[in-house]
Amino acid sequence: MKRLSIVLSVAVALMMASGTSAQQNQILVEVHHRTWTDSTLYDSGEDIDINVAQYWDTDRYYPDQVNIWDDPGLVDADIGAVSISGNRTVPIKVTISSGAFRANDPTEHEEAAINWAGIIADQTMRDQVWLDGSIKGDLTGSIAVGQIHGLYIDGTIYSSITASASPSGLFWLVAGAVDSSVSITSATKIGFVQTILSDMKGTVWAGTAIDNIEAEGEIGSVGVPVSITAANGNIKSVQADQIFANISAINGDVGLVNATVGGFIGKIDAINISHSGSQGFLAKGDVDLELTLSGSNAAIRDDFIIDGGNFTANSFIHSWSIGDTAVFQVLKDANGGGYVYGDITFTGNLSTQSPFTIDESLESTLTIGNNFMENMTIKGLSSNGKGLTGQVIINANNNSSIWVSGKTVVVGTTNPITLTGDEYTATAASLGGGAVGLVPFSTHRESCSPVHGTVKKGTPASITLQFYGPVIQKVVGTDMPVKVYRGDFGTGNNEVDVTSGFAVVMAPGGDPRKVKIVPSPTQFRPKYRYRLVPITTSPGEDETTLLCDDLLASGEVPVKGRDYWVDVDITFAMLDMGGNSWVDAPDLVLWAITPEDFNGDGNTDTQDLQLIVDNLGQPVD
Amino acid sequence: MEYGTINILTAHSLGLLAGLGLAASAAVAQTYDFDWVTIGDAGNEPYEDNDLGLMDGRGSVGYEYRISRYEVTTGQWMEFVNTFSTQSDDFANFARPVNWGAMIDWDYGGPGRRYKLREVESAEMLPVGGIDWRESAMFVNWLHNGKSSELWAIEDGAYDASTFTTNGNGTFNDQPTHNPDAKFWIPTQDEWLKAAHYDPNRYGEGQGGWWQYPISADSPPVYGPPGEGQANAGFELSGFAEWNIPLGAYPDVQSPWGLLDVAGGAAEWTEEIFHEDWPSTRGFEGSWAGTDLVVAEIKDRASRFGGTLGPGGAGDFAGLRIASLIVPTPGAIWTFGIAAVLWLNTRTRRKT
Repeated sequence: MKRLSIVLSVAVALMMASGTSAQQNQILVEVHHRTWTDSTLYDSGEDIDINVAQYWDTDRYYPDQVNIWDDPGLVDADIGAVSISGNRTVPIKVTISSGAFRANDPTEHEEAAINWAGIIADQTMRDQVWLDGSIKGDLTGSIAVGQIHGLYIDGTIYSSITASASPSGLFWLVAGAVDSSVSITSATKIGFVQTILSDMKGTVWAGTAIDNIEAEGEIGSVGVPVSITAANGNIKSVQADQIFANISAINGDVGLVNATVGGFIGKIDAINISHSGSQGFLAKGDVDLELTLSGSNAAIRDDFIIDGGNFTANSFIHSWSIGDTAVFQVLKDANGGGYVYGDITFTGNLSTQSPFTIDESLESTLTIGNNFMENMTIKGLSSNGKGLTGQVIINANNNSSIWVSGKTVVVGTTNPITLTGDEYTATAASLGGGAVGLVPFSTHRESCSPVHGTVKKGTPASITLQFYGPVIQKVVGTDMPVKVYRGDFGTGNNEVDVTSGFAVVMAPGGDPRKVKIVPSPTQFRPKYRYRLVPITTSPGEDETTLLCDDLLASGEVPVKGRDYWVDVDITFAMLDMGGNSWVDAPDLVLWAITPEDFNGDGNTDTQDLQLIVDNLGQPVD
Repeated sequence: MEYGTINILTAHSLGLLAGLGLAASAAVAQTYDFDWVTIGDAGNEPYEDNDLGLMDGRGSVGYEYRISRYEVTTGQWMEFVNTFSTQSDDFANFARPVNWGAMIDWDYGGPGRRYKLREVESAEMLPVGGIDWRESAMFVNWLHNGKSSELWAIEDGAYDASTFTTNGNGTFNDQPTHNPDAKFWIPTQDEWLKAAHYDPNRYGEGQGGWWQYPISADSPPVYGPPGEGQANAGFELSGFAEWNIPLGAYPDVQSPWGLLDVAGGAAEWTEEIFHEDWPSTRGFEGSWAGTDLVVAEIKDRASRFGGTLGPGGAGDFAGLRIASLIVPTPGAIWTFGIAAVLWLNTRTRRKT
């Protein structure tokens, strides 16, 4: 090590005598006092130890700034690992450059060296060390100082950076790229972090807030999300081509998350997604987002737009758009997108001026805790225009919230189906298989099989009730959650309870909106009306009850007791015992030879024969 | 023959006059809806920087120019964005800021996307933050080309957008300074510094000098909301509502030339390139809404740069105040035209 500890005047004299060639591949360290400067030369990459202790006998003369740089600007050397020690109670300003310290000034210094192995300030005085500067190459070692005011790393940051003091622990950091091994940490606020050449793969943690993080490439990488955390404040913006990150501002708001070229994979935890400029969350590709917004008034208060991607993963949002205008859109483009696969839960309202648009399909469950107050559009699949394959639940809190009059759910574009309120008549199949349900869920008569209010020719093997939302039995098992009544054909008069002759299959085919009633052992008999009524006995009473499922409300919520009926009729084919496609006299003869129980009442009698008589001359249907 | 010569000369003169008229009009920058301030005192003394020396010798401008009293407003930027964002879906996010007073107009069915003012007070006058330098350059190109809706209108004029490319090492190839015949441009560092901090009467009538802060003072503004402070910077409001404070909300707080919101609002791009041998960032000036108090106070100093960003960087704070040609008075154009015709006729007669 060539170490010179000399006053500045002597150093200048030596420099003049020896010329600049003596400093090639060397680093100059200048420790500035009030009236003189200690200058020391180090070999390229050599470790640098600096003691900046105050000595109180001449307190006006303790060092107040350190410059470390590749004098005279050849920038052909590396700065080794810098250690700062010495008892101090006032700041020491360290500039990795030749110029003056530029507090809170992000303007670039002249680059001080190629690579730099970092700087560690002794723990006992770390908060007093303020840093700024610029290098041309990579940061290869850690930085641990009090404050970082403006730091430019033209290359890649390979080691962690810690600023332990306040108010702006790390104000301005610009680098070519940030490696995945890096943690950027500030005990208080982080101002601006930008990569101008490539990806930002390191974690970022601020004790208070984070202003802006921008990456020229990606933030994080596939399968390796980075953490971006503001422990006690807002995160104003996070922007990159694609973002793979877990963003947390649990005590603040997230202003803007913008994946400008691709998608977002990760989590966002905050009180609000909120900003004044009508941007909130924007992505240009698939979004696999676990979004949790919490707090009494938590909301997406600005646009949430996935443009050319799908929305997956589950998101829990306290409420949406209170007192501001925001939209929720999942749009397709030429490359696809427009699907929602993840469950989305708004614990509050789907508020006014907050239209919800899905270009292709809602495949999952959208839960709205309170009121449905703004229009929803599901444009539908390009192939068939049906896009509601999942479930929308309104009033999931079961607090008497409503589907506001005049607000619609529109499914499809060419021949759109407009749902204007609960108990709409469009079938689930016409929408894509899904439903919009207002709690308590009602019976979706038009989607039952056989369809409500129709005549079923022939004995049905079963009747499947369908509801506007998922249902479960209060007591899981074989007890019937539905009453089955049999009455006169065509009128329903003289109704008797025949529930005990049937059994239930819940969620047939995996559809939680369906309840299947099957004979056990009784058959559905022709020439009778069957009426099925969900059992909605108040909770706590000792009777099997059909309950709404997948609610936010903690208690039991019986379904709405909307009944269903169907008239079961014979088929002429049953009566055509001769097989000539007509109900005719020979069939009477054949019945006399081998009588059959046409009406399924368990008795083969003249009532069965009368059915042939009543229908003589009818062709087989 | 003589009459014929006269006729020919007259026709020649008229043609020249018309040509000069066209030439003059081509060199005249429109006013549009900007409130322009003329920055005079050409050849003013430069700033003497006793702080860090960063601005030492800067701020002297040897010509008159115009600069907008306000930063580019939401209304002005929205007109620009809508001109192109509605042309195709590919332009749906064209030049969309982070902070401004507009929102997507969902009544518009395409192509592309249209924006409308948000339902907040003075939305049209809200600052525009989060626009990058290249978008800003395209904005002044568009103004230069008469706000044409053709794509060529944003491709050249003040800056050749075909140069807006970035190399593998992070440097850019962007045209460093505006075209000499540009009608509108992003202010140079010197132009911005002079407009913000130089006072032609700093030390008395005709005795120019510099103020440290852009409010005609050597002490920083009191940062706070209207009615409490003098600049929209150095504080935060719930829900980032500091960005809902309109430009011009501090009408009595002005630069020596009458510029508003130099401190606060959005940061303001300049042409300044740092490390000219390694161009990777451009400069911006002034504090912006939501900055820390200590930071705002430093950024508003004449002796400090606001900061630098790569050409695609914008944060949520980078905005724009534009510079422009001085508009000649009609009398000046007429006088120049007549003089030119007479001069040309004289030359023609001498030839005959």
